[in-house]
Amino acid sequence: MGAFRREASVGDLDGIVDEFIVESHESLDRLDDDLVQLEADPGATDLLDGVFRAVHTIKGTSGFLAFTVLEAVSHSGENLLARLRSGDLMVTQARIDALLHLLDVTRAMLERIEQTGSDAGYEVQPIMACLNSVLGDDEVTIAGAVAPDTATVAVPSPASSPESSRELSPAISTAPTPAPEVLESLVRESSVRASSVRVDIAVLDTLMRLVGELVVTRNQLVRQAHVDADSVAVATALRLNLITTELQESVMRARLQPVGQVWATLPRVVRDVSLACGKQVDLVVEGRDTEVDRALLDAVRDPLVHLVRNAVDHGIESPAVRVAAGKPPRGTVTLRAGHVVGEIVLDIVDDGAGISRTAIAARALDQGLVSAADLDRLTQDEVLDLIFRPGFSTAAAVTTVSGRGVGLDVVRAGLERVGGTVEVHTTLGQGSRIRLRAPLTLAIAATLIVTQAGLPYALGLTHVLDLVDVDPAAERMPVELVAGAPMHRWRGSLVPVLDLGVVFGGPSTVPDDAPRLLVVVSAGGAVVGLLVDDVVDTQEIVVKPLAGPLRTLDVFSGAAVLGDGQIALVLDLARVADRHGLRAPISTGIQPNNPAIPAQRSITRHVPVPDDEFVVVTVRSDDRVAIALSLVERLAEVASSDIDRVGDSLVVRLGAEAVLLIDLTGGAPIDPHAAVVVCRLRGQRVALRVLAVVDIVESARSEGAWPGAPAHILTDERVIEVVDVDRLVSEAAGVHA
Amino acid sequence: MSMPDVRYCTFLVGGHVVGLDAGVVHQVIGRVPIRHVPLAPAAIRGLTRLRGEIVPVVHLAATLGLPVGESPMTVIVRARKGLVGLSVDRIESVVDVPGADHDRVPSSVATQAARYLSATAVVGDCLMLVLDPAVAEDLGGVEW
Repeated sequence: MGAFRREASVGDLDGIVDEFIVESHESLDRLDDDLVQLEADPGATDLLDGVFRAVHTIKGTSGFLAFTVLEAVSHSGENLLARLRSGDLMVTQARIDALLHLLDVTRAMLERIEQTGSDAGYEVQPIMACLNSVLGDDEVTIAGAVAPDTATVAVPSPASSPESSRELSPAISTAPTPAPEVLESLVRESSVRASSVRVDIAVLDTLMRLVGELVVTRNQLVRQAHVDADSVAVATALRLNLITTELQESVMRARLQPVGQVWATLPRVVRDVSLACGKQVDLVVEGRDTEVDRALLDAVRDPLVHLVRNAVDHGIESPAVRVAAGKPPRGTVTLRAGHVVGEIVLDIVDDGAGISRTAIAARALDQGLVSAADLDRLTQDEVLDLIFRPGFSTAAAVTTVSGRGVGLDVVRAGLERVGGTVEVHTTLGQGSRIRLRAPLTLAIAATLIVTQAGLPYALGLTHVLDLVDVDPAAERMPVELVAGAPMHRWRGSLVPVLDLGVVFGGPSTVPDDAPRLLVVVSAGGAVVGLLVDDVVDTQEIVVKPLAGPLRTLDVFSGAAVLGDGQIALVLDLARVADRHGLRAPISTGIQPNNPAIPAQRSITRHVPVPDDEFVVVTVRSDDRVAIALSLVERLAEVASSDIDRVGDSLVVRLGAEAVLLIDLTGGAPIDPHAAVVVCRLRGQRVALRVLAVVDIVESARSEGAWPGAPAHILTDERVIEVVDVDRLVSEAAGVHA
Repeated sequence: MSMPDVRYCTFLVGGHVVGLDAGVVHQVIGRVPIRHVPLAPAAIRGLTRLRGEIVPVVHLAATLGLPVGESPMTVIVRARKGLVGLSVDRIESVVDVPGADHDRVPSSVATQAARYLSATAVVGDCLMLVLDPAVAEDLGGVEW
């Protein structure tokens, strides 16, 4: 019923309003309790912070949903909370009363929004007066400030509808005891809440776990049925098999939601915030169908709104400033979502002014977050990190948009709770990129199951490049000792070989008599041959984190129950390689690009390659440029037949994959081969065509501390420009991004 | 020493009878396969599967510094941060011990064991060592 009327008044925002109502009710329920606890323990700053944030969120959301009355009320509440939080005012019973009263009024207003689609006409003077009265002197009580006679204000009955037989009490009182309408709203089940079922993530987790166990039991049953050769049992087991598989998929799907769902409100946020700040901003979204675990979605929902708001409010400059800086007057905020093995990556990119470290330092000093002496000791990155301190705000004025100090600290805390991270990359004058990374805790990982000493281990299938038989009887052993170190010749280069037994602290078994298998894997950017006893098969597994102290064993990223009920440990290949000192190598020679080579699918760089190494290439006669080694995946030589023109862009086939090709040579003829540097950027590959690879050098950048920033390096007394691959891609790609 | 009446699940570990408050015992699962974890601290036997969950298993004898035997039985206890398995030699029984029957841990008990013992009690003709449930919080000497 409520939905019907709302549809008429707010149209397609319907779903968002419903969600807002449901979520606000939930947080209000929690706040009741928090406030009561806070009264008992006025020193509990974390409780106060939580209440403040919740009210702040209601204010923000009601603001962009244009519930201006509710926004105004929550703003007043927030004011009071902000002053309690800063220690300006003490937590007293009168103030807690006022805040509890605010919760009741907010509930009543939500109820009204649900019924009529609007909060217009709600009489808020009493609650405002009540909140304002406790802003001052500690002696003033609510009773003293608001006389009971004036406290009861008539509220017009909400428009009645044919479907609605309910009657609302026409009055709301400001007295601390809830008015009849308020009471009714507490007791009555709201229609929105009744129409959607919210399932606790824990319930889904339990379901998932039980389904996993069911699968294992099913497998045992199926095996036994075959052993017994009982045809009825086999048929039953097969049916059970089908049902279980379907059940498993459904439960898994129940947890996944497209990330676009949390983005739904953002265009409105951008619009409203940019209007309020007098800016022109376009929002670009990429990867909205990326499926994300439900729990994670909840964790990033608020951070995303904060970050997008910040990007518009603080990041993008006003049109005049932009034009003066030689930029188009309209700024762009880009939201990008994607999966990188085991992780979801969400980027919020703006092409605004960037974040000034000097300004941050000054501001942090101003706000007393650091002392001048501390500031002197901080590195550039640490200065940037100050924006994550609680209470930090760069906004000069407190506005309804942002700048309350509810910001990046909350974002970071929220992400860390789900095991994620927040990174900020910024270039003064060019913009910022905030990257949220979080593990896909419930991601179903495709893995290769290998055994070592009879026990199963899982390797991420995306890391596996090749399988090689190591048969001691063979003519040429695939594993050779080079200067005492076992190596394997793989596609024209030598890759180090690690014995999994040695990784686990056993003795070296190379060279050895027993036939074994070599799994060539990409590990943190390096290619490594992993010697294992046997390869079992590939399996899709649900990775679970290791409990307690086992978590400190960083060579394992988790454990999983296999189809046969055994527990497999999931190897973190990057950590394994790092532990054994195998860093990302780069062969200096150009490798022939063999089309038979399956494309490496995805590589996560857990081990960052130092930022001060560069591949130096020539692009026009003797023009040299440098490419950050941290971006380089490999060097290759491609034939002209591998290069195609698609629209305005060039595409090169590398194995089975088509990769965007950016020609740095300005169209030098290809005969018959062209040298390319394959880079990986935000999970995407891009090939840069160069004339030749000259050298790999170690040199400090003259400015910028992140990959792709325009900078120079100095080698042999030559100044070489560092290619901004990021910018090249955004310029050249457009549709390819 | 004033203690309430407690019901204990008792086990045999390294030749000693140890008792664990029945309230923290989740399940006595007996003989289950335990998956060895390479590189793990010695006191950790490995991982076991309990209705789809993966639970770490602690070698109780090793943790207490008692003679380490085969310890084929597993008891699952509820630790603050989740379920933890304890490897024991034998499952004994369930006993009710009146509060007055509890005694202090003798100071002669080896320090490593004393850390995890909260009391002793005479049960039948044996001395029962009362395990502090915190033993499960402190897996292999590592806080988690």
